[in-house]
Amino acid sequence: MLRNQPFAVKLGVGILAVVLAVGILAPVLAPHDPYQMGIPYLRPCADHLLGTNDVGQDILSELIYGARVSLIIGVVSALVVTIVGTAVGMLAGYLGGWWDRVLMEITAVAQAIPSLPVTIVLVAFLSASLWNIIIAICITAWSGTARIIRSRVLQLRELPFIKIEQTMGASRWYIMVRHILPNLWDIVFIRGVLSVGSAMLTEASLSFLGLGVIGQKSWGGILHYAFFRNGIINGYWWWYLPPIFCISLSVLGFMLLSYGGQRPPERRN
Amino acid sequence: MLELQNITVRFGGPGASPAVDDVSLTLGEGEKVAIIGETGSGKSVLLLAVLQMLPPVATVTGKALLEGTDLFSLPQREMNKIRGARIAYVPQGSGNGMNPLLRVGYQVGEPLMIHQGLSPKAAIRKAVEVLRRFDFGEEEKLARQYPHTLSGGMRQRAMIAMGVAQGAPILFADEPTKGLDSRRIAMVAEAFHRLEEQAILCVTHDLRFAREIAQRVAVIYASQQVEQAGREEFFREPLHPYSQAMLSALPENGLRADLGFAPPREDQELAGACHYYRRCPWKCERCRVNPPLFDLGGGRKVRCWKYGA
Repeated sequence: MLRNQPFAVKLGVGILAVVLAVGILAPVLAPHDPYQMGIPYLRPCADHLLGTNDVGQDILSELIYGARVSLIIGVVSALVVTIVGTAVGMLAGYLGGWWDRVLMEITAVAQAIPSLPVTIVLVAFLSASLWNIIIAICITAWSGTARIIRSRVLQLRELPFIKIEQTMGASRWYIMVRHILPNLWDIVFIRGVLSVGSAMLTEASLSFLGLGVIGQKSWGGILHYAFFRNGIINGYWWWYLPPIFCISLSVLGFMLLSYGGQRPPERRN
Repeated sequence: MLELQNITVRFGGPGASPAVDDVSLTLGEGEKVAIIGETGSGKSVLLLAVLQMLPPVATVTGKALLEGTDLFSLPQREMNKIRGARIAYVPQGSGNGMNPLLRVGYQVGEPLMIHQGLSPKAAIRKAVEVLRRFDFGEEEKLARQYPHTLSGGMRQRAMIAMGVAQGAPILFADEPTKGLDSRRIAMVAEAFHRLEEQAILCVTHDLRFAREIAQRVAVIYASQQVEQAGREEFFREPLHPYSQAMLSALPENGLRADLGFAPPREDQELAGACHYYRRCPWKCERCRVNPPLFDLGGGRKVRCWKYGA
């Protein structure tokens, strides 16, 4: 399946496989306990490959454990966003009428709300646990997917093969699940994969602002401390560059993977 | 079996001029009827109206009695049990009549899954049998193929197979020969001949195809039925001037197009006149009033003052 994909997709899968493996194998790979304190502000050396932070925690171990939080938040939010967005778009587009009006009004409201401020306010009120951050990210992020899906469904439902299903006496739900949904696969895939990247970025922004998951290491969290404990002013590059690199690399991985959705799956046979 | 009574379809409000105007037609058990007319005359709309598949802006009046029950009085849920199970529909144009992501066998078997609750596996097995009735050759292989690998003629026949898979006693076909070459047309006609028990209501503008498959012919011109006749009489001696014009445009009759074929236009002065007035070679003062459909007996009906009292 991967063999017929362009190089970009293979590269994306490779990057993501490494990030995922690091996240899963964190306890094995991390040279130190990321919470264990020691000598602060150590430059990279043999024992601490990326040095230590302000309380002497090993930055490489922090990064390795940070992959977990970033990935979980990214993937779970993207799943929720994609499922909700696809469902809303499909129901509005295919059922039309009142469904369309009500759902699209809600979508318009969700789009009109500035997402980052709302997310910040929500996290501030809900207390910053993993699930609350996911909820806060999802609350507005589904609307773009819903709109795109709806416009494709509006196109699809006028096509003869959908009309013929209707004249065959198929129920609306059957047509949506069996005929509309498979034909949305490419957009759902692309939007889904891209929203992992954007959810990871949102998570990083939140953590940077100090609203990240309390008590757990994340890439945005490392940046937060690097910034607020003067790591950047003092030029401790080993502290703030690695998390930036990790975030960028993962987002790049998901973007490259999204090219995989551009090849129509019907080229089987 | 199916009796259409005074069906009128309007798009957009009671003031709009009708797309189908007061059409009545019966379809007996196993009977093959062709509805002939040029593009835009309202033929396809008639079929879709009976199936209640028109968009909400359309208003349909009249009755469509299927063995005594008026289809227009049924709620959508009940109508879904009729669509595909009692009346099957083969739509116009085979191009994307099939979902590109599903195999041919699955789609042909789909009506069986919907109406008889068969599992996909059993339905596909049945679908292969149905396909075999149409003589494709290598039906098992065909059932595993995706629609884009089929030629236009094959796809059209596969769609007819899809229409009859469930054994619906009535088949509506909307221009099943559109865009096919004469050999494929012959194949579609052959497929229709195999459906001896099914009643077929076939909309077409292909006169030769109609002559091949139909027992009875109804001609529609500008939303109104202008003639109805048995096949033999119609092709031997068409009565309405429009029917005559159509037949004389056939190659074997010399491809004559001297009788006007342009679509009718809105014309205030001619409101209420015979729809064919502007290009009728026989027009006279009387034709400023639209004639009724005269019943000449023996199943012959014609809308022209020439044959009226």
